[in-house]
Amino acid sequence: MASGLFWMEMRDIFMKIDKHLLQFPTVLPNDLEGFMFNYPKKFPLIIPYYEEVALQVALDPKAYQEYGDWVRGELIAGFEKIKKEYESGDQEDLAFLVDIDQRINKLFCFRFWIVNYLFADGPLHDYFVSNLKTLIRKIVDITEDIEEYEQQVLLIQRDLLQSDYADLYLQQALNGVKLVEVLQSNPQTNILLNEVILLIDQHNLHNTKEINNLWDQVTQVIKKIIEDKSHHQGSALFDLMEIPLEQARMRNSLLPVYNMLTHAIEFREENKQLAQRYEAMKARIEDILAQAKGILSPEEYALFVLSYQQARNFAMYKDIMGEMDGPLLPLWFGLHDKIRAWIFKNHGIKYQGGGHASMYYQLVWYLPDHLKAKVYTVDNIPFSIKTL
Amino acid sequence: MQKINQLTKFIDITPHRSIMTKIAQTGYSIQEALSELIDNAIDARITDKKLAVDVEITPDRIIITDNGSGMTEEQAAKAIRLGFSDKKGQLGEFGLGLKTSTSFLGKSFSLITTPYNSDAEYILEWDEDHWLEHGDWYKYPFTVNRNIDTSKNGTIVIIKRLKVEFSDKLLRNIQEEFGMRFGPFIRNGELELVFNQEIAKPFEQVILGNKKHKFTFEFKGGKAWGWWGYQLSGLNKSYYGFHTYRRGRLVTTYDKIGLTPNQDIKQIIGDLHIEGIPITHDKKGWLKSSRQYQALETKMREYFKPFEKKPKRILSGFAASSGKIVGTVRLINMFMSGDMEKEMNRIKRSDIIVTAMTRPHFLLGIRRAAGIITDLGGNLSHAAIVAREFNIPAVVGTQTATRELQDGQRIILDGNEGYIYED
Repeated sequence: MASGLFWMEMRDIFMKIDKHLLQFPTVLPNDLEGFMFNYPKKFPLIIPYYEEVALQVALDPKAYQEYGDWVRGELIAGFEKIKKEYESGDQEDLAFLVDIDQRINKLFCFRFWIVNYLFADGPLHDYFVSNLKTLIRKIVDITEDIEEYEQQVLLIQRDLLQSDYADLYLQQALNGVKLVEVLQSNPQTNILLNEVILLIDQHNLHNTKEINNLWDQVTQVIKKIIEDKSHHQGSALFDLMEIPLEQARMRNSLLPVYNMLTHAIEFREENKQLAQRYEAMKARIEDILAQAKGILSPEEYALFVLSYQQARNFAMYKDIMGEMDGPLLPLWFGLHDKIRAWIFKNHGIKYQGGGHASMYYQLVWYLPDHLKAKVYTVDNIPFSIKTL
Repeated sequence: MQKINQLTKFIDITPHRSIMTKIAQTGYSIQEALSELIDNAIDARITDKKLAVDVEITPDRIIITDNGSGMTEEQAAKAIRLGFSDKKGQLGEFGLGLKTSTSFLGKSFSLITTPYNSDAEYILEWDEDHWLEHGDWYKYPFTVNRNIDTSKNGTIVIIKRLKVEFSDKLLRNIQEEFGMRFGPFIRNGELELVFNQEIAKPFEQVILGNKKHKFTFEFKGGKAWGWWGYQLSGLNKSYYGFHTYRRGRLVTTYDKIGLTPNQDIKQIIGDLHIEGIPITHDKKGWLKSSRQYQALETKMREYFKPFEKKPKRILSGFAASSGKIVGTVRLINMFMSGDMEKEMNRIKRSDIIVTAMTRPHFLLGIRRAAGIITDLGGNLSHAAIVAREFNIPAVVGTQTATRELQDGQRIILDGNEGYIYED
């Protein structure tokens, strides 16, 4: 529990934080879609809104978590609302499609982009990460030789930035450990597993087909177990295989399932070590914080804890928001496919690549004037689920 | 003018007793002091018989045992004499090591030695405090035991009342350094060195492509030979150059003889065995002022000049995950527009993935890769996090990696500094 003194130190940090860190970002390193070029122009209210939220949550990890949870709830509610209207509307009507697209953009901007990009990749994130990097150098024993010292700095940096949270990648590795256990405990899959292990351990890309043939058989068994509601391994396998099976359905290919299974076997020993490291991570972070408390001044320690918690929060909520990709993107991309099809039909323009933002740059020019105007008209209406 | 009246007198120059303790103040490291004692054991090895040396360190004593030839009565009696040595051409040639190293490590020691095929055992005891108060250069106690088991041979040195403390880290460092110092003897099977019940393994350098180039230099008064290769610079950039050996025993580490200073990224590293150049009496360095040293240095400088090239930097980004590697660029499209099966099958172990940004469903390929470079992303991007999680180096947010780098190109990825170099 943070003491009163701790929060007084926090207030000191607040007094010292540069105001520009709380301002709307101008550059985002992960801005693949280039939203920074049009969202602040299309939805100018995102700028004061971000700065208002930043003021409230930047130095308060609990407030950031509460905000993250709330904004995610709003994103889901807003998406459900739009989805319902989209599914019941006329999906052949271009004006309807453009209207839905614009509303998704607004929802995305105010309830996704803000957490997934503006906080997680913006100047505040840089501020917390660089604080950690600087303060870690103070807590490592300087009597170590230089190689050992730098190694210690990097290890602490890695552990603090990873934190005790398992992101999607690490979760897959941890699931791999469980998956191997489940498959080995089933006599039917265990026989196949022994065969596939021999092939995978050859580390030869030429036997991929042979491996995948065996995985086909394993997948059939897994599917049957999941479908059989009374099977004791059903729920465990469902939890472990839900995402790859869903991806396989979306891609119309079992490749994501093969990859998950091959990964679980090929890296089975490394994954066990990762699982051990992950399990020990909480204690490790506590040790680092205790080490920091004994060495840093109270003010520095408060900044250290804050920076750790916020760096962790920013990474964690980025991931949580990313989970919305599953339901959201198929609808949005599907809608764009329809607009592209209309443009191709009416203008002969074929465009293949690009994500949701590319619609602004590439295809909007071919829309009828009134829809073009709709897309390029500044939206100054404050965001609200009710009016969305 | 008065005539000078000159008289020659003979004075007593017996060293002051304190010299025995003062000689220990030579700036030894603990590893170096222990190595002096192992040197003595190596000098006493029996031809065609593997020497076993056991070093045991506890908080209150150090025990070094060997199964070498032991010392004869005369050798044992002279072992305590300062500066006496009849070991020409061997490691312990100065007659100082036993005294300096034991005095450095502890306040008292016992030396028990049994010569090969003998029933005698000779014991020397030394206590610093007693010597300083009662020591007599002319009457040093020397114990002889007879009727000892003749199958026993070798020497035991027991150092007590230690002046040094051993942390766990120091013990680890000693073990590593033994592997480096006595590597040639261990490697060629002449020595089994056990440290606190663990067998010391010879130190092996990590060389790029495992390519070792052999060389021999002959110079007036001596000869040098060994091998060299390239390594990638580590966190301490001064750790490059040669481990130099004399008669198989390490003299200097990361010696820059014949190399230009401040090598970075791709550094020259190797072993250099030298004969014919004198060393300092503490065996910690070569006499650099000697003409033999200068002759060798000139030859080496000429030889290595063409191989000392700093790789060209071609890209930079965020240093997202530490480590430095050399590998082959594999341009991978992880977007929906890419053919996942084809892309995944192109990633071989030790490739460096170059991509716009990483995606979770490419985890298998990412795990197989030795490093990651992305166009996009910062410290909290998925690529950065995943690289840290799986402990592979990464540079993210280069903006142009997928355009600048060619599939199949050999590059050096520096995840410590955030740079990409041509190999």
